[in-house]
Amino acid sequence: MADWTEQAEQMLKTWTEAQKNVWDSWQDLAGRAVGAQPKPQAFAMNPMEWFQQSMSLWTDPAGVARDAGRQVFGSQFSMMRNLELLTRAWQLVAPKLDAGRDWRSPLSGFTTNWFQQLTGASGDMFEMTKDTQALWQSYLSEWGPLLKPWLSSALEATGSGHLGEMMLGGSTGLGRLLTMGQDDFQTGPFVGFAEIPSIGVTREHQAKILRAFDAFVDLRKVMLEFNRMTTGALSKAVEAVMEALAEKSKQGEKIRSVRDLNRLWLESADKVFTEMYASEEYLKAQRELSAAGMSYKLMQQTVVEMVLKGLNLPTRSELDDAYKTLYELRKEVKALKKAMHEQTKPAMEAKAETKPTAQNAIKQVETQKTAKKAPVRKKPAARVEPAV
Amino acid sequence: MLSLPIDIQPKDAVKEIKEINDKITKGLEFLSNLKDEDVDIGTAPKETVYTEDKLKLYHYLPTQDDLLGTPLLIVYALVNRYLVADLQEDRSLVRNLVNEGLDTYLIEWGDPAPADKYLTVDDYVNGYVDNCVDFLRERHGVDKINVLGICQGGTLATCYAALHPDKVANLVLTVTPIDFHPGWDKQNPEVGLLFNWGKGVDVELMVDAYGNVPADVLNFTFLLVKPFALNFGKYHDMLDILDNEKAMMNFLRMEKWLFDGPDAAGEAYREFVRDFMRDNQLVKNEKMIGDRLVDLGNLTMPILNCYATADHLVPPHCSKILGEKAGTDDYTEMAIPSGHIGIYVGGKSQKMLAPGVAKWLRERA
Repeated sequence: MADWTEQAEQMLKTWTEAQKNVWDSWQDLAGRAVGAQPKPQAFAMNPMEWFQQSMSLWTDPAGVARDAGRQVFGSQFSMMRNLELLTRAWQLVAPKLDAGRDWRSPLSGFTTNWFQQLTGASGDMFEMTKDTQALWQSYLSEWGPLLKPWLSSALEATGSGHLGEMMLGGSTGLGRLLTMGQDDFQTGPFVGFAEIPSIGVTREHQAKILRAFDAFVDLRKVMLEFNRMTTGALSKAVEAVMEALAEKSKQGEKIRSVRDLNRLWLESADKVFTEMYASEEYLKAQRELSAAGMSYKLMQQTVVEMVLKGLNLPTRSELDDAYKTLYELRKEVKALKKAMHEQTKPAMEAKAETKPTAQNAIKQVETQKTAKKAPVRKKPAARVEPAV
Repeated sequence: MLSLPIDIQPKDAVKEIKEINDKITKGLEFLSNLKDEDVDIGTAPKETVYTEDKLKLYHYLPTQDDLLGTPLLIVYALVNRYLVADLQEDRSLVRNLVNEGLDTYLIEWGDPAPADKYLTVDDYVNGYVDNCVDFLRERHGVDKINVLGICQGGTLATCYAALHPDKVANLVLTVTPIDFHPGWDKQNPEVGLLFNWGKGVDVELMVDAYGNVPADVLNFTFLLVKPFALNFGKYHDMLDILDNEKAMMNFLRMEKWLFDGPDAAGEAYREFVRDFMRDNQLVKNEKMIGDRLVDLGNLTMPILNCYATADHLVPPHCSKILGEKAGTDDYTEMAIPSGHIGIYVGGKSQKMLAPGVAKWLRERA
């Protein structure tokens, strides 16, 4: 009988062959598809993306069918990926388990790496939270050209170590804004920004941007903690699968299909995650992530409002005021209509006693219905106002 | 020595992949010819009889001769759409109710726009629901009507019935939360998980930040309860039905319903999460709507409380507590062996829920 190394190598070979088969089939499938397609060379670069683009072209662009199509490819892809993950994990675990040595620590390192590669969440993120310059770059990238003048002033100030200068609102970046030299804004869509200095780029404006930056940093920190917990749970899920596999191995049981292995993985992962969800540690991390996300969103709005005011465009706060007035007026009108209806009701009821009404007509239809086999209901008048 | 318990032979794996790809080929042929409107949901024949702001009151066209005289108004939840009550022809609560001879109406709330962000629970209960009830009382010439609530709509219907007992003949509730603090079941932590999460959410901050709470945020929360089964597992299982058009259409209808929900009006959402989910005011008889206390003791009308035995979103005991709190002498429970959504779309419940409701209502006509 082959030893565990040979067995695992064999499995990896299986995985590679199966993977190749998937790609070949997909390419074959794509070859048969009609209509426009993304460039074939894109397939080699990123098959998943290529197929997702294809799905968008082949199916109703706004439809549920397109989403289902994407899931089709995603499902097959993730099944193969799970097979590779679990086989590689077994390759790592089996000899240690066999020798009665600790297997959880090396497995944890392996799975953490694996998931970080998959999700793109790497240790760099942690390093970045310690590096103001890198964080500023990241922050700036989220805002694009909209706030470039203000943000670049802040960036230059921090870059040269002049945080205090930036906090006081002065920097070379700001100067460049005022002179509008070769700035992108001269030709870009925000050419109207030339008016910005007239509203005064003051300490208050800088403070708003700084507060938004603080909220951005807070969000990054709690995201990091949240991702750490999630990755930890994924590692535990792999552990749970390894334990289940070891148990099967002892019992002489076998998993004989990709989908059965996949099912084992999904069930184990859900169990581990659901247990984590009920833990105080997770609830705290979830609360903090949600609060940090919302706080950052509010800070973003503050900064955007600053820009909108500069362009003499309505802000969300102003719209909210208008909505509130609209809401209150609507309620008042409804209440008045209702009161009027109550006042006129007795007179209408008195009339109704002497004259056939729409209500009586409805009742007659109701009565007739019982006499017909397949009654066609006479449509009563629809109403488009509150019951007034 | 441990042997590798994964015994997937290359030829078997390749065969399995080929089988899946054959299904994919057929499935894609089907999907690529499908337009979004082909995925039809909410098809039971109906007419709009009343509108107010974005609300529409639908009347489902009767199919039976012996209509129950008192109309039935269905109050749906403020999250997701009413369409789960009419997902497809053979899985439709409203069709079943109509076929049982109930003159059935349903409130569609519509999609709250930013201008609707200030709507409160009072506006929904004492405004929209009350206006619909008054409209139906007038239309049918009756003093009271029957009211059926769905999930959160059941909570709103309960509040309405407690505030306006003179207008409600019978109250029917389906998977309705009354007690929002289910406690932790360590063996099954997913049971009541959403309510337990809801307690900790900083809803003030959330509504301040979003205004109306986006449907995607609500969907994401629902999916997190079983992240792997709901985000991956069901799509892996979908591979099995790719070559079965009927099964695929059923799958797509459910997907469409799941992910095509409206945003939630901000203030009403804030109030609901804070007062109902976090502070559990309803079951404590502490909830004020407008300037009136919602006293469950005022629920003196007959009540039929239908719950799903495997409901992890609204655990049965969160609904059944109403039996202890309501002021009525005529309280009945109906257990449906299903989950939270299965009570409306499950095969078994098609034969149980609507017939049970109709029988119970006829006994009290």
